Amino acid sequence: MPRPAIGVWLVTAIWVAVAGGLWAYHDHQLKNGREIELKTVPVDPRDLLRGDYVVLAYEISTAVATDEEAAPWYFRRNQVVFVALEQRRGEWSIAGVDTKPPEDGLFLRGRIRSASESRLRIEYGIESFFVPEGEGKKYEQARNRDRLWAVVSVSPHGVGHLKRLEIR
Amino acid sequence: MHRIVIYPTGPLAEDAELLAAVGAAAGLDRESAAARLRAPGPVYLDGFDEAAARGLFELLAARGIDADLEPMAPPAGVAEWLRAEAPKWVRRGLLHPASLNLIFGNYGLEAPASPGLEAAAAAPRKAVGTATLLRAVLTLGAVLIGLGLVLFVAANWQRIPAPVKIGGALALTVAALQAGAWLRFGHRPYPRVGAALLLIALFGIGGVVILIAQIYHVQAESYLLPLIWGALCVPLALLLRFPPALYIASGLWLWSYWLHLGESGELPWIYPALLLGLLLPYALLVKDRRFLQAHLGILILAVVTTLPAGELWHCSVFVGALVLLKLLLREPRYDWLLVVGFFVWQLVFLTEYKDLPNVFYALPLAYFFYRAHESRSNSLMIANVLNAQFWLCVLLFQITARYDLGRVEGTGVLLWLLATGLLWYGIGKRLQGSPEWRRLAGFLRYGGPMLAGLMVYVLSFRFYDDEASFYRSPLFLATTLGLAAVGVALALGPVLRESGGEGGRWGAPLVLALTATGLLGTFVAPPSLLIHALLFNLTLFAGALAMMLRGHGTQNLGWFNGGIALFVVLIGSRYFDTFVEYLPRSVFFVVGGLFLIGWAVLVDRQRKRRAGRRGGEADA
Repeated sequence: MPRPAIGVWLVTAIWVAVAGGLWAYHDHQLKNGREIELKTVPVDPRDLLRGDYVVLAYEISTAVATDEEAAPWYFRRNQVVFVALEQRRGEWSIAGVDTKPPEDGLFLRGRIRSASESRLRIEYGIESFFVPEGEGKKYEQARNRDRLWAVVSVSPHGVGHLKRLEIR
Repeated sequence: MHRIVIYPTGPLAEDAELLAAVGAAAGLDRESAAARLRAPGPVYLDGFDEAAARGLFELLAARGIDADLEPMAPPAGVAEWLRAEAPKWVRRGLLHPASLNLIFGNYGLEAPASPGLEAAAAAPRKAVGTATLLRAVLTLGAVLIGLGLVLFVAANWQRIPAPVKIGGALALTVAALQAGAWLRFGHRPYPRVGAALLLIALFGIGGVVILIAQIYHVQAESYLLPLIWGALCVPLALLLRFPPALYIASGLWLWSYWLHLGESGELPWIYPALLLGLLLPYALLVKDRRFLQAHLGILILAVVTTLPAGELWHCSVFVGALVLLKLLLREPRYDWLLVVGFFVWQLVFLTEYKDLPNVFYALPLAYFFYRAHESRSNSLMIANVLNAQFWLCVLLFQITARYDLGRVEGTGVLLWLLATGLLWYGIGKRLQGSPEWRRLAGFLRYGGPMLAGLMVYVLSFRFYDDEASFYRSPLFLATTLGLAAVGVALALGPVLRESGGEGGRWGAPLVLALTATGLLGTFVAPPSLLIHALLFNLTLFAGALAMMLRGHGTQNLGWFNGGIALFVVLIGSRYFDTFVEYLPRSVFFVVGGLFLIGWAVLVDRQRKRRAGRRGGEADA
């Protein structure tokens, strides 16, 4: 066992490195991704550790059987998928779902949460937005008026990071 | 000389036969014997020779009264050994001096006097030392501060910019870590305050991770957060030898395991890998017995977690670890944890392989029976009986389903449980004289008839009259008849022997015969004839009557009131039993009423005739 003096500096170094690494990773992902805007449907529950947050569902959270290459029976629960996105009339929607990343175009990495006969429910890791205590209400009202948008940064590997919510 | 110690559960002094027997054995008149039996707490009856004591003890056992038969003084060698050892127990804090006097007094011995003993008696041992109090208060304080930090993060105070928040939290955490280490290991160590600061640092680093996840909106309830937090606790435990960090890591990883299950419905392998690959081997390496003991409980939680997920492999790995820990720790009381662990394992097996007969469970079950027998543990044996019963029933289901041996119908299970009740009763009757299996015998002797009675009650309704109701599964048929036959064979001897005594205890053999005949009736006669329903009704009414008569014969109000209550329930059930038409019900009630009145008149005439004869003899 190392001497306590060395041990405590080793622990300090590990903690600073891991915390700094996590911070740097998220910051880099957020700043260097491509920015897109997605329409949302929020509610406001509470995380045990991180306080109030808004649960967000997107139009791209559900893929129906009519979407090409998104046949639900082809996928299983918890499977990692890559969702190709295309912009139609200013809004981003699903162009296709596959287990491999598409060769070109914008795509998001997600995970199948349920696969029924006619539809897939996909999570992208951008479904929680943490807000100060009690501020979830304003997003709920904006949702009811169909005016809430999420600004998401998408990395070249398809990982989405939630930047901010905008009420328009 | 011998003595008997009775643990009364009812009014013993009202039992005329018992009073007479106690009076005769102890040389007391009726009043003195009644006074002894009415004394509160255990009743001591001293000074018998062995034959008299044994005769009285057998009478008590036959009546189901809990009692001990023992020599009044221990053998000379044992007494000497006790005198030499007991002062050591007091000095080591294992035994309070007052208890020592009581124990020696119980065997008619004088407690040994020694300076150490007197000193121990004069100064009662402190249950909680100042150091323990300090440690507890400091730990609680540190936990409060740590939770306060986490709540501060949760408040999501946005007036401070994110980099300042993260930097500040990390700086505070590192400061707590450095200060804690300095106080714990420095030249003038304050180990307890140092430990409290290290604890705060552990919460602090968790707070930093949570803060980053909050600022960057990482998915809520993510299993990754406690996983990373736990991983950051490990270097502190290993590099600074701070065991609480490992406890916290273990708890956080178990939480992460649950979060993953909630998120995806699946259990990740990382938790078993960390627990069994890192935490437990490390605890073994540094011989941290307390950590291993705590993880018996953690492993039980992990085993239970696998149930909703139906993950047999995870469950098997955890149960294997439980077995290993049990072997290493060599504590007999941990048998119970194994029983729970394997029981859950059996349920998980059933969830995953519905049709695969779980013959593997026979092995741990056999071991638990062996352990219960070896340690003479009545409670473990009772748990084993219930466990084995459940397993056997499930096994029969699985075999029937897998090999397409007919269909298991509800009535088949009811009859199977009825046969089980008979078997329990039979075994209980055989064990009733055994002093070491007294509680087990009591459980089987009363639990068996209760189980069988409940099944008989359900089957006494007419709705089990379809031709397809019974015995669509030959396996259930064979085991039902087999269990019932063994149960009746075991019970028959003791029951017939007891029925010959004074007071004509015919109730038990009659009820047993009616139950067995009713069970057989379901097999030999077509269900539509309802012979079984009639026999089961007769069984229940005979049972109620027998309970009342037993209560009257032994002057035990509990039995009498129980019989009355059963009668009321049965009459109500039959009156409102809309499965039977009005006319048969009317005939049933009238015939039953006539029978009871006729029987009461007969008993009354016999009583008067006996009284007349006694009067005549007295006159003569």
